[in-house]
Amino acid sequence: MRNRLFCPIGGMKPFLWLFLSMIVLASCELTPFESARNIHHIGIGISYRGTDLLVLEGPINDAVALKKSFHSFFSAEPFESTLLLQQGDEKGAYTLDEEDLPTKDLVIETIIRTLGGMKKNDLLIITYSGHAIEDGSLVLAPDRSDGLLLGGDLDAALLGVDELISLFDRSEATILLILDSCYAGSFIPESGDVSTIDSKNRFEDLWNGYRQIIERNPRLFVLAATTADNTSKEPRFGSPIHGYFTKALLEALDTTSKQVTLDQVYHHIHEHQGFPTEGSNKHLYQHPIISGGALDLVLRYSISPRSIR
Amino acid sequence: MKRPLVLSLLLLFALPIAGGNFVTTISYVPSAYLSIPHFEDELPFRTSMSNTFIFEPFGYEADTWSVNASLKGAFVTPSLPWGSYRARGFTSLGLGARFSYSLTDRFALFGSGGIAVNRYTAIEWAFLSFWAEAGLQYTILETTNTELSAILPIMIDLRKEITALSIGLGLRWSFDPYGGGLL
Repeated sequence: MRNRLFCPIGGMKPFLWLFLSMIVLASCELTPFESARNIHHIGIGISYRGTDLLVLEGPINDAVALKKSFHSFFSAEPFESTLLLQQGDEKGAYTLDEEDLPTKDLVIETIIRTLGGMKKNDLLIITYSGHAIEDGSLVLAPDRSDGLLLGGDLDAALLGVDELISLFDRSEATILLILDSCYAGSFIPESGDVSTIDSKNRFEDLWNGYRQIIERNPRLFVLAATTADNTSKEPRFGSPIHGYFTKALLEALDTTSKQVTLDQVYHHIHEHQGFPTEGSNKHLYQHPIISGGALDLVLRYSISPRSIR
Repeated sequence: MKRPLVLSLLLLFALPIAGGNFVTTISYVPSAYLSIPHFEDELPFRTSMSNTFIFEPFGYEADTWSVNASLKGAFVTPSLPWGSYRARGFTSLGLGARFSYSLTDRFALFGSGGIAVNRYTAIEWAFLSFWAEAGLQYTILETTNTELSAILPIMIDLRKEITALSIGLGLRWSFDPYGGGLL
């Protein structure tokens, strides 16, 4: 039986040096990042009170609670929030006199204005709670005093997927779109990755995804309450009532952890959403979804040993 | 696209039927995994750690060369957070083939390539990638039936949005399950 033991260091010295050099080169991330980012939040909540659509109890609570929660979450950084709410008047009637009523024109104007003042490192978070139609288009507040949508001009109040996404192409800032609405997964941009939520034709999809030429904005991240083929739900009772998705999101943001990324927030929602994420009857489940791609969004990162909050 | 997979599997299972000089190999390679984005990012690349396990159930070994069919599993960690982003971590399962050529008693050159299905660790998205690898192998210990080598592979991982460069230092253990002895 042969038994030979060689000294591995002598002959491999040049390669060890190469390896060590690569590790040193790879340490760019070890240099501290001087964070100078500003964070803006645009919160849209529509109750549809006074319109001819089903009234939702959650959206106003969602928008207000998210503003408060983000303010606390980003307490170490400059943070501004703008709320666009449709609550109806004290009698529950629709009125155009509401301040910051989220009509399509005002929503687009607010987004463009906010993006116009933002720099490359800045983060814009847009949250939306309200109705959407089957192609994902958001149903915003009608720009007519009778408040009619179905019986009026629904199309004029719809903000479509491409219409909204194209607004973000004008900016170099990072954008996080959080949607608690039906068919919200329609806003998930194509990345060439394949969702494993739906397991049909997996390998063929992977191959097609790899070959497909896709131009997308790598600075856009989307967190949606449900896949593009399902509705988003809110409970009938609660104090206050929040959509199931937003309630789990609020819990995820209530953390003192020094490092929080969007994937971690998604994971928390997926695990703790108080409503099934799988099933055979779409009325009885909703599966949250996050945009794919190679990068995760760092929401909070501190190398300081002390807690941020 | 299914044809290369079927051919790889056929090769994997047909090799031992051909008779003698067959070895089974297990490798472990920890490595630095540098993700170079195809889009504009704050950094030229982001750094992760990769732990790669390679199982080569059937390999054919001749005097100066060897060929193996390989199953490869890798765990790539998320990159260090820097700025607004970090690269997502993922797990990988791939099929490939490996060829090596002995330069001396101790040293050999090797190259490998293959296809992998990858799934991000924290989210429900998967993607396809192709890899190609080249490196140096150094035999540390050799007996009649086993061989322990140090390997220094440099790998390129071709993903849709990322081209990753990976360099590691690992161990490779070959043994002869059929009792014919290693060459």
